[in-house]
Amino acid sequence: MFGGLNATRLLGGTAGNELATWIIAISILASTILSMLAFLGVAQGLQMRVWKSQIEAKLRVLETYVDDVKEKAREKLRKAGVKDPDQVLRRTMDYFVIEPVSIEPTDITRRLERILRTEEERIEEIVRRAADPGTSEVELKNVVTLLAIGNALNLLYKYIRHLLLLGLKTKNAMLVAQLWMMLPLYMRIAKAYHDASETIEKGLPIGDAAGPLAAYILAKEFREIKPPEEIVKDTVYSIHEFEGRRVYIVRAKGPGSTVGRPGEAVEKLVEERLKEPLAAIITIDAALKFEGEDTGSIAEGSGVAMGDPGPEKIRIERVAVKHGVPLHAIAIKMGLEEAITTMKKEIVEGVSKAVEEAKNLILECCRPGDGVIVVGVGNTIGIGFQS
Amino acid sequence: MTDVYTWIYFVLTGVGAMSALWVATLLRRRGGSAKRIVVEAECPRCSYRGYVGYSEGLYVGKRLQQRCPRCGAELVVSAIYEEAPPCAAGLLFASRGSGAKDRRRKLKTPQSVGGYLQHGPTRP
Repeated sequence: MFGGLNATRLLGGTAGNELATWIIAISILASTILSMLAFLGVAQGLQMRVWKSQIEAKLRVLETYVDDVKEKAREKLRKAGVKDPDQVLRRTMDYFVIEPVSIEPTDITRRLERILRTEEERIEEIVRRAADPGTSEVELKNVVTLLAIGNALNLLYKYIRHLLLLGLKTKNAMLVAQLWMMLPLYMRIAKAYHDASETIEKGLPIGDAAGPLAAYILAKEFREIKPPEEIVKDTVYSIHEFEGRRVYIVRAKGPGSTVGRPGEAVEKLVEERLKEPLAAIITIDAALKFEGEDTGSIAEGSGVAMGDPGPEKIRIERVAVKHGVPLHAIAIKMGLEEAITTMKKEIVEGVSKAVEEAKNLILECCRPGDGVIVVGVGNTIGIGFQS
Repeated sequence: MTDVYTWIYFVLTGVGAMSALWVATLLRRRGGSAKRIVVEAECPRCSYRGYVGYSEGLYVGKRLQQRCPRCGAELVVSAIYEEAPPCAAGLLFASRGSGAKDRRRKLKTPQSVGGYLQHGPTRP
């Protein structure tokens, strides 16, 4: 029984035939209208609405990430004695860097280096001026990194919002579709940055600290000849002895968040401080793995293992060419998220393997009496020195 | 008899719903936020290794107030890393896929200890 009507009677006999005819007629009419609307672009419009709502939902998530990082930075700035944290945030969140002119390649790395150093020094100066003079260097470095993360997230948020609004404004379905398709990748990066902010706030070692951790372990295991000394800004070197070889270990100065200037340090070391013949330059760094590769696996190669935009890397390459020194590299594999979030156990195990690999390299590539430079490349957050 | 079948139907539906909820809860725990920070410490004199509880401000190379139980020297932080707890979904599907071996291995890993020093050999 349906609403007092007998269903069997309704669907049978003459009345049933009439109902079936009506149903078929309505179906044909509806499909004709839908087909015509599809040709007129209504389907695309509906699809765009779906994409728009999904992108907007992700944008809201991204906005909460930005706000969260800002709040963490605000809190850190307050702890560092900054009276008006919002002013510091306003100046640093929208800080931008203009790439050097690339159609004239002469000296482009030097120009890029100058621009990047200006950025680094400027942000540090803004924070240092606002902070209490007694604030530790470690705290200052960590706040600067936190602000850099906030800046990157803010830029990503504004870029995605810009593409969405532009696509809607110009009714460009392809632009919106492209953005929608790329969004999972952008969100992956954004989440990694957001998670990284938590690690930086606590001052814990990140995956990228694998290189400095390897340098720390090597320095601990080799007999020390000269304790760590700052050779260039935020970068230290120490001299050790291993099986008759003189090992110069270079890394950024921890435990604050900094990558230092390893290229300039190696250049200065080779040109001014090295006394014995240099047999090799070995760089140990975290490297992005391919999907499917194991986190913490290591690989040996040649060249300079360094993820900088170029200025630091080229200094090591140039000095190696000038003195005819082989360049060896050891990569500790990890994903993008793992590189900027708290170090994982697999990475620590990978560092131990890289240390053994570096020892073998030193023994195989250098004769007793030779000098070798080992550079632990990466961010030194949470990696100090053994006193 | 109809009543008996009805009751069987209700019971089976209830069991099915409960099982589905249980599986969903286990799966939701995958990659949960309950990750722990593990701090490894070692003695620079006798190479004794152990775990210490995490507290803010620790870094690799920092000298701790805790003393080595073997020789009494100050312990030094040798590694700080994040360790994920045993994955419930991994337990559930431990026999499936190539990752099953890793997941089973993870479950056997000695878990970190918070707040005090763990004695004896610590590395698996």
